[in-house]
Amino acid sequence: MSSALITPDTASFRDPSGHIFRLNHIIYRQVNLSYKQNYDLLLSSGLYQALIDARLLVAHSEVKLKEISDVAAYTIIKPDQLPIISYPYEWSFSQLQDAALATLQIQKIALDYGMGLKDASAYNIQFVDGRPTLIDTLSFEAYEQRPWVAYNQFCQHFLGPLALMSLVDVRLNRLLREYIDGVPLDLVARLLPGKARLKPSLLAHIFLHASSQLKHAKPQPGKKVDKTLTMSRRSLDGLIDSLHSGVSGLSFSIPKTEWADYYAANNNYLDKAMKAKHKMVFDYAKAMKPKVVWDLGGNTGQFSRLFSDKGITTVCWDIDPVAVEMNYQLVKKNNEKYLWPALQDFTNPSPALGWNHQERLSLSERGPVDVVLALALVHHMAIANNVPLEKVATFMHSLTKKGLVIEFIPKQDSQVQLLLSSRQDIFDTYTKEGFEAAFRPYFTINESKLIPGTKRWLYRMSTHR
Amino acid sequence: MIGTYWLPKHRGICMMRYMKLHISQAFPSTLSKAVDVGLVMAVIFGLTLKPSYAYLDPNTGSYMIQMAIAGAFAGLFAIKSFWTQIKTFINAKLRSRQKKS
Repeated sequence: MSSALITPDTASFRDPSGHIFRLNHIIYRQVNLSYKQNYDLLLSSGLYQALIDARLLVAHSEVKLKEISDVAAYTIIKPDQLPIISYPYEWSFSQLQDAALATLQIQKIALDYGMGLKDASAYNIQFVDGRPTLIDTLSFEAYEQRPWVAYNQFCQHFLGPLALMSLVDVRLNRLLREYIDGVPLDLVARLLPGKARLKPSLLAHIFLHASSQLKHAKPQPGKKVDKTLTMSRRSLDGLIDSLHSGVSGLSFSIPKTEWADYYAANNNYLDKAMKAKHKMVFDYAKAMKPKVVWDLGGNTGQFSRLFSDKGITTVCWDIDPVAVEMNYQLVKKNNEKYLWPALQDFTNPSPALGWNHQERLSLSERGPVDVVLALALVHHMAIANNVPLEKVATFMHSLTKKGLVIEFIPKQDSQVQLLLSSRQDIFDTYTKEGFEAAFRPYFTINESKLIPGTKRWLYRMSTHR
Repeated sequence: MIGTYWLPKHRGICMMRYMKLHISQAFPSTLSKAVDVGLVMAVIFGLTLKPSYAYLDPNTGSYMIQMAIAGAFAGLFAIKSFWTQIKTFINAKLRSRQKKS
């Protein structure tokens, strides 16, 4: 491969079948000669078209790039470009469950075309037009009557975390952030309640599986495991069907959380004021002509939809797994294509993870984006989490290219009063003037208005670059 | 008896012992009968010989347990598929009767 403009993707190095690279900000995938037969079979068998028709695989076109001179290259493909990458530890229960079911569905279809998935990583799935879609075109290999090589990966990436989220606590998806190749099954087995053993699929794929892994954890000298044993197609069908039942048999019922009913029960807006705020937010953001918007602390996506409904790619980040779940259910129900609900704790945002800190991008590495919305968020950062306003401004500056629509809620507001009710007020600079002074080094304040019927101020700021 | 199907005898017996060990660790006694049936199916739907090449390490423990339980689930899957066919057949008959009447 020739140098300069080409940047290899830092997460694409494990599979010798090929790798991803960027050229002039476009993502391409090199298919290596070693993968030629499988790649050709994917296309000639009809599997590629079947998966495209089912909207389960990202589409691609073959291209010729004069910049590529790698002798290992068979061909270069240009996949449809994704506007946003999100990771499994940023997904709600149903997002992870739908990603798991999509993976199994892909495996079933692939088997019908004489191929199978050689990996089942949750990171190979991304939400495209609101639907879980496989983005790794090189995940297929010709089916030979062998056990599923990706069985362990599927259980660690999907079934185990889903079981924990369903039967213990939905927040346990955070374990996926710690364990980048999925949650170890012995840990899943230890954390699950005893009743989980009553589910045959969990008994088999988690408990017996974990027990078997522990037994074989240490290779015994002189004892070789016969890995040449193969498995019939009927057995593999049974295994996939059982995993499907296991995944679809898990559920998550929406409990009441601090944020899930925020707009319904816990805000300071009358209908009229809320309508006025909608118009102000939209007008402020529209002035910056965004193609991509990030709504920070966007709850169930009320303000995000002002933009996504108009075809603007919008990510609605929120700390509450229940709010993200509710948002995703709405996306599914309304077939929304431009809204990405995702989990994010802005006091501890997704870090760079994996090999050399480069396999999974941090939140800020996935930005900056055109416009950031920060509505009713600053008081949580500044007062509930003791983050100085200057640091809030620096953080916001790292996320946005064009500008910011941001709400300042003064101490007189009942929501801030609530935050201060149980603690000493040590926030002398938390005033409108202090807020503006903190943001001015990073942004130009273009306009600001009092939101009608409230004590809250809305600002439009453009980013200093 | 199990070993007399189309796989080497010792392999079926090893698989039975292997599963027994793990079941006793992971799930004390109560489902043992059901599991025995599953094990028989596991071995019936058995195994043939072929080398395996993959970039992903399948994990020895995962490999072994998968081989054992997949057969059991194959049996259940076959029963499920058969039952679905019966239901489809009955539903089709009922529908055609309703149409005639």
